[in-house]
Amino acid sequence: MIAVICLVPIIQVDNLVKEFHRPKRFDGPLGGLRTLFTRQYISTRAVDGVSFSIDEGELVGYLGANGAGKSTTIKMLSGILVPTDGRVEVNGLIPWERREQNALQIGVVFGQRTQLWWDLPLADSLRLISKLYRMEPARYRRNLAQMTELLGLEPFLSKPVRQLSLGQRMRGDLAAAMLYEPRILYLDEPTVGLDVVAKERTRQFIEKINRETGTTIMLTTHDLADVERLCKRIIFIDRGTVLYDGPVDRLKRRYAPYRMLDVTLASGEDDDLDTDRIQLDVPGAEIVERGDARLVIRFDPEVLPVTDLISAVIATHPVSDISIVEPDLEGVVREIVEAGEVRS
Amino acid sequence: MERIAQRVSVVLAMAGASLRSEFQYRANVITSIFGGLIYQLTGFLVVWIIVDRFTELGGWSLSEITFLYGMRLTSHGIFYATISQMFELDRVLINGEYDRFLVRPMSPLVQVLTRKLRVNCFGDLIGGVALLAVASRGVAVDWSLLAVGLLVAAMIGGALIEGAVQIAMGSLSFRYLSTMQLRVAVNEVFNIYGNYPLRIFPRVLQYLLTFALPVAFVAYLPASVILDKSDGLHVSPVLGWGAPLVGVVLFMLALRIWNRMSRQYQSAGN
Amino acid sequence: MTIRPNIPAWIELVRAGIRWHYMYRFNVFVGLAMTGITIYLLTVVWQAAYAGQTEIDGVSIDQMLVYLTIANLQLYVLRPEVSGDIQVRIREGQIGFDLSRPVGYPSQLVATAAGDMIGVLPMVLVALPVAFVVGELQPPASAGAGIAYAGSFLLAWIVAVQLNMLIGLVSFWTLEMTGFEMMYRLVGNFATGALIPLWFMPDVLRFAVQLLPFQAIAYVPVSIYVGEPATGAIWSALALQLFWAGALIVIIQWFWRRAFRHTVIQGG
Repeated sequence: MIAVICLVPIIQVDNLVKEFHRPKRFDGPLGGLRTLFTRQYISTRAVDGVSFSIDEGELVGYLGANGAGKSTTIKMLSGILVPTDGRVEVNGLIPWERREQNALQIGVVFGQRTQLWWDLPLADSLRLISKLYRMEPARYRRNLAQMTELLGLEPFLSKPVRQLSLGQRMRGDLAAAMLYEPRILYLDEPTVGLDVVAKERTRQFIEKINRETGTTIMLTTHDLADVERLCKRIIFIDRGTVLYDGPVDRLKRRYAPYRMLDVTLASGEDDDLDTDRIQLDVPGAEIVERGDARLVIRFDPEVLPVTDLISAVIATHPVSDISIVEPDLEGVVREIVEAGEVRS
Repeated sequence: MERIAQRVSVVLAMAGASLRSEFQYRANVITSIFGGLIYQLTGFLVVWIIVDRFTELGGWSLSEITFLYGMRLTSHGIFYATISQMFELDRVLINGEYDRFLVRPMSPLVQVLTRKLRVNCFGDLIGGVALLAVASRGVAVDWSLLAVGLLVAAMIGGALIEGAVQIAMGSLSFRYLSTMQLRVAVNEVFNIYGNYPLRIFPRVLQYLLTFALPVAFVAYLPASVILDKSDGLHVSPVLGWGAPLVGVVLFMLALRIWNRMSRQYQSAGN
Repeated sequence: MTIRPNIPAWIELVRAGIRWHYMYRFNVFVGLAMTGITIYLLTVVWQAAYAGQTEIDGVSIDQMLVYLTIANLQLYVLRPEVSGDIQVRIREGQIGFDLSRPVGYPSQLVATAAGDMIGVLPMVLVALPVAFVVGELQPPASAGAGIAYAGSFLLAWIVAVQLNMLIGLVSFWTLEMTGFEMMYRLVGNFATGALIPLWFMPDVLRFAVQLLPFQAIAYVPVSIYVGEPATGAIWSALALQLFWAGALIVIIQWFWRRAFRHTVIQGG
C-alpha cells in the first residue's frame, strides 16, 4: 500500500446552500394553465449552510431522516445539482462546473436504481462502462477479473440483468462503480432490500475496498448496522444542517454514557441462587436487572474501568459468563431526531 | 481528433447496446416494424387512392406525390431512429435515470437519445425508401449528383428539423413537466401535413407551416426544387435549396436552448 | 355472456368513466385538437381533389365535406379507451382482481365504455363550433335521414364497444401486443371510411373493406346522414349494422370463454 501524504482534504464543503423553487400549483378548473404561467413560487431550503471536509481514504457515514438534505448534498457533490450558495471542491474540481472530469473520478451506487443495462448480460454492461470511462482494454480486463473474484460474479456474468436477484444486481452495480478505480465512491443505500447474508457480504466488500485501495467512501444509509460496522465517523444532517460531525463512539457516549455488563452467575454448590440478595458495593455501578442466575449492571466507563468492575463482580460470586453490551445507535439517532439537536 | 473518434465510438457502443436490447424481444421487433410500416402505408393509401382517382392533387401527379411522401417518410425514419427518445424525456426525468446520466462522463442529452431504440423506425425507413424508389421511375428528374446530393441532404435536414423541434420543446420539461402531449401533437402535425403539397392549402396556412412550424422545409420545399415544380411556390425556391442548412441551424439553436434549460434541472424527490 | 343487472355497480363505473375524462382533460383537449387538425386536412385535400367541380360520381362537394366532418367527429366520440386499459391491467396483474369482482367482466367493460362516452359528450359540445369552422356542418339530408342516423349511431356505438372489447380479450394471449394492436387500429381506422368513404375506394379495396365490421362505425351512419344511399338502401345499411352487432356478440362470447379458461390455468 502506498502511503499518500495529503495536506488538503479530498472533499471540501463550505456553507453549502440549496434552495428549491417550485411553481405554486393551482387547483380548480383552469389550474393547469395558471400553474404554467404563474410567477409565484414556493421555496424550500433543502440544504442550509452545510460544511465539512473529508480526507482521502476516509469511510464516512452520512445519516439523516428522509428529507433531511442527505440526497441533495450528495447530488451537489456528484455534479447533479448546482447549489444556490457555497463552495464545494472534490479532489480540486468544482463538480457542477467540471461535470465530466468529476464524473471520471467518482463512482456512484444508487441502491434503489441500477445503472446496468436491463436486457443485456452483466458482462456487456461492464464492458460498456469501461468504454464510457475511457479505460484501456488491458486495464479493463485486469480489473474485471479482480472484481469478478472479489464479488463472486462468475456464475451470473452472462445472465441478463433482469434475471438477477437483488443481491446479484447490487454486486453488479458495485463492480460497475469500482471498475475504473474512482478515487471517491458515493454509496446511496447500498444494502437496502438485501437479505442478511447479502448485507454482510456487501459490508465486507466496502470495508475491504476502503482498506486496500484507499478509496474515499461516503455512505448514505438508513441501516445503522451498516454504520456501526463500517464507519468511524458520521455526519448527521437534519433539516438541512449538520447536527453532528465526528466519531461514532463519541456520539454514543454523549447520549448513552453508560454501558451494560451482562453477567451470568455460576451455580456452584448453591442450587438455590437468589439474585435478589446480591449486592454490589462499587461506586459508579448499579444493578438494573435481576434474573435467573443473571445480573445486568449499568456502569459509567469514565468513572469505573470495566476491568475493575469485573474484578469486583467475580470477587462477590463465581461467574460463568460476562459480556459487555454497547449502547444502541438506533436509539441515539431517534433521540437526536426527536430533539432536533445534538447534546453537547 | 482522437478524442472525437473515441466519443463517437462510445456513442455507437451505447446505440448498439440499445439495439441488442430491443432484439431480446424478437416477436415484438417484428410486429413493431410491421405495425410502423402499416401505419405509414395506410396514410399513403389514402393519398394514393385520392390521387389515383382524381389524377392529380394541386398540380402534383401521383408519382410526384409518392416521391414527396417517400422523402418525408425516410426523413421521419431517420429522426425516429436517432432522436425519438426525446418523447421519453418526461419519464427519464421522473424515474431518476437522468441523475445517473449526469454522473457519467458523457453528455446527458446523448445518453437520453441512445438509451433505447424504437424498432418502428425500420418500418419507416423501408417504406420511405421503397416509395422513393417506385416514384423515382415515374418522375421527370435528371438524377445528377447534385439532385441526389440535395435529396440525401434534405432528408437528413428534415430529420434535424423534426429533432430540433422536439429537443427544444422537450427541454421545457426541465421547468414545466408534462409537455409531452403537446410534443406528440406537434409530431402528428408534421406527420399528417408534411405529406401533402402545401399549395393545396390556403395561403395563410402555407405560411404558418413554413415559418411558424417548419413543416415545409422537411420535404415539400426541397422536393419542389428537385422535381422542378417551383412555379407557384409560396416562397422563393432558394429556401428549397437551403432546407438542409435550415435543418442544421435549427438543430444548433435547439441544442443551445437545451443547454440553457437543462441547467434548471432540480432532480426528482429524495 | 349474461349481463346480470347490477345497477349500482354499473352507475359507479359510468361515473368513473366520466371522472377519467375530467381528470385527464388535457389529454381530451389534445385528442380534440388532433381531430380538428385531421378534419381540416381532409377537407382541404378533398377540396383540392375536386378541383372546383361541384359533383363527382353523384356526390356533391358539400356532401363530401359534411361526411368527413361528421365521420371524424363521430370517431372521436366512439373510441372508448377500453382496450389500452385492459392490456395495462393484464401486465400489472390486476386482471385477476377484475375477474373476481361481483360484476361480470364484460358488463364492466360496457359500463366503463358508457361512462367514457357520456364523459366525452361535453367535449363534443365544445367540438361542434370547432368542427363548424374547420370543416362543414349541415343538417341531415332529410328528416327521415336524421331519424335513421340516430338509430344508426346507436348501433355504431355498440359495434365500436364490441370491437374494442374483442381486441382487449385477444390480449389475454399475448402480453407484448403493441405491434399487433397498432396494426389492428390502423387497418380499422382506415376501414371505418372516415378518411375515404367507401364509394370512392377502388373496387378491389372496397370489396375487402365491406367484409369488415369497421364500416359500421362511421361509414354506414354518416352516409345515411348525408343522404348518400337511397331510402331503400338505408334499411339494408341498418341491417348490416345489426348483423355485425349480433355477430360480434357471438365472437366475443367465444373468445371470452377461452380467455377466461386461459387465465385461470395460468394462475390468474
